[in-house]
Amino acid sequence: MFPPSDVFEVLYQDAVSQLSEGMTGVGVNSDVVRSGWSGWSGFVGSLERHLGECFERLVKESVSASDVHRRNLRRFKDDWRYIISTSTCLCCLRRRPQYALACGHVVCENCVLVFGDCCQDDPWIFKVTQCFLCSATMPQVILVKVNPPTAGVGVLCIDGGGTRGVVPLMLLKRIQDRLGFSIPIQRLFKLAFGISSGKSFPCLRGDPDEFRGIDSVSLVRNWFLR
Amino acid sequence: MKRCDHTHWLALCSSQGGEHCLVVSDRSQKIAGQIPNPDHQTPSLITLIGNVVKSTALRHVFGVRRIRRSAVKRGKGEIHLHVDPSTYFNERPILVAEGDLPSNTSAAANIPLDKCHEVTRRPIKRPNENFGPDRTAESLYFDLLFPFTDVYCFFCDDLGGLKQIARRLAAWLEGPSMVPPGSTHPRVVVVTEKIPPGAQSEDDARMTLLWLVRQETTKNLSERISGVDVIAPFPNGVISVDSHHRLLKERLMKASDTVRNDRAASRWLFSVTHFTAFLKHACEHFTDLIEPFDFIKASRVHYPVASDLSEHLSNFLKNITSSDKLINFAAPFIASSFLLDNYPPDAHRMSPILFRALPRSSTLLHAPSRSFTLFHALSPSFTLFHPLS
Repeated sequence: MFPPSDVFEVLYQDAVSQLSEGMTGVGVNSDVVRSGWSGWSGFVGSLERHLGECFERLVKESVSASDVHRRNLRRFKDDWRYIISTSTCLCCLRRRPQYALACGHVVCENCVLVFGDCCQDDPWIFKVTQCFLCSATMPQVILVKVNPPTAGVGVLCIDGGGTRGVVPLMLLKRIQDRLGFSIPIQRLFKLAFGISSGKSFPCLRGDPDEFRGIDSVSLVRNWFLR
Repeated sequence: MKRCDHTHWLALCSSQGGEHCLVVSDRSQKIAGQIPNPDHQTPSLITLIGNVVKSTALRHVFGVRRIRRSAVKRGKGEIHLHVDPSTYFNERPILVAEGDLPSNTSAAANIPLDKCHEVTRRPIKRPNENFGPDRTAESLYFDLLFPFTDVYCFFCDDLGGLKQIARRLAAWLEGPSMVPPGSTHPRVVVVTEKIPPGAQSEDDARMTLLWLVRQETTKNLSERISGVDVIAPFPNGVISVDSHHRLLKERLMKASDTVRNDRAASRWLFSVTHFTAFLKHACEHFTDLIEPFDFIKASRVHYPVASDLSEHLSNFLKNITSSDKLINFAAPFIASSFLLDNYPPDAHRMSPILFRALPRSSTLLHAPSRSFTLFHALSPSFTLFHPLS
């Protein structure tokens, strides 16, 4: 692993330096200045030192960075009760938040993935039983369904012809049977295009309301509706 | 498909318009694929520079077999990559890059195009008007391979003597420094059979080389390399050929050990997987930029630091109302968030750019590395979550 001092210098120092450009209002609360602010360099030095300590813990205890961070979240849970942000996920300080919890804290999907509990039945559903920040217990377990990374946008495009469209229809049915899912094959596609007789399939085999974005470049009548 | 036994790796060519191109084969990736445990084995790279004597040493010292392909003639300045076959299963596979250092380059790339390997051609866009063909050929060794090499081994008798080597080193020193920040420096070993064997004559030759370099440049060699050794193996006939080369190998490995220990101490010792990935990025960097290659930046190419990080930090710090909280709460927590951001599980053995698709095991889904590669910054809007019914 790269030394934390090098990592801080290369990756984070610029962002931290930008904070120092405004001592009040932009980077640091004005109360801090009034309470005897010792200087920005002291803060940056403390930041680097703590990063080094976290890194040492990572190496010595052979834990993951998420374990170290989870420990720090719990360590400051009393402080988190009074801090709310709807612009920044306070859990990671890196992303915009998305999921609001009952305690008022709002976290991003990535933090749900990292700190939430994975459902045993479905590896893409995560449970949140308590707030990652203030440890407040949720009145009801929150389930977050995360889109699998390999799930893309399925697009179905069927050409015309094929003996008035019988051939592509039978091919789709064969694929559906081979997959063996309990859902119609149209559910696997977000967008469908059809040319000539091909435009009829999404409407024919499933609920047309389920299918959005059907487009057709053909002005030919739908033969199957005759 | 027939097995690929081409060893071509890096070369330079010129297009008709005079534009230089870096030609790279997938040799390093192929080698990585042959290493049994690439996520744990940590290679050492030794770069041999010479021609006839170098080729002999390559065979006897590192056990690299000669490929009899009379139809494929080496182009000038080509670099080939090999593995010492006896080290495939070692914790430390020995990679050997070797080539010549031509005095003038017609810049003729000769990496054969074949279906058994992939060749990429990248135009060199480095903004340096002094980047002529000679400089380019040297820069493959001294710029591109510098961060990865433990030992540069010059075969003095192939390259025209100590004076020529001194000139090449001086020319390199005069050029822009491409030493990556925080990196360890390789050692230079010069092999010659023109001096009597023995520690005294080797030391005298070493001092002569350093003196010759100082005659050519005022720049200090120690700014770029960690040490210089001159090796005079016993002449053939005094001892057997195998013993001759065994002694050479011991000296080269001893030099490599020194550099490797420095790498390990400063945490710059990479697994085969990471080593190969960084090499690939270094090739891309070489053609585009004149600044030193930065491993840390390269590791974040596909998962960069949030561009609005200072805004997020500011949003957090606005809520801190005392300097005591700033030092004892904000600083350690921000540091912890940096740790989470940059050190996914097995980082350095598996940094974000090298993340491979993991099986859909629930335990692995907690790994932040999975989230770092798969999830992007979300839109500012948020939803008050209702439990799924």
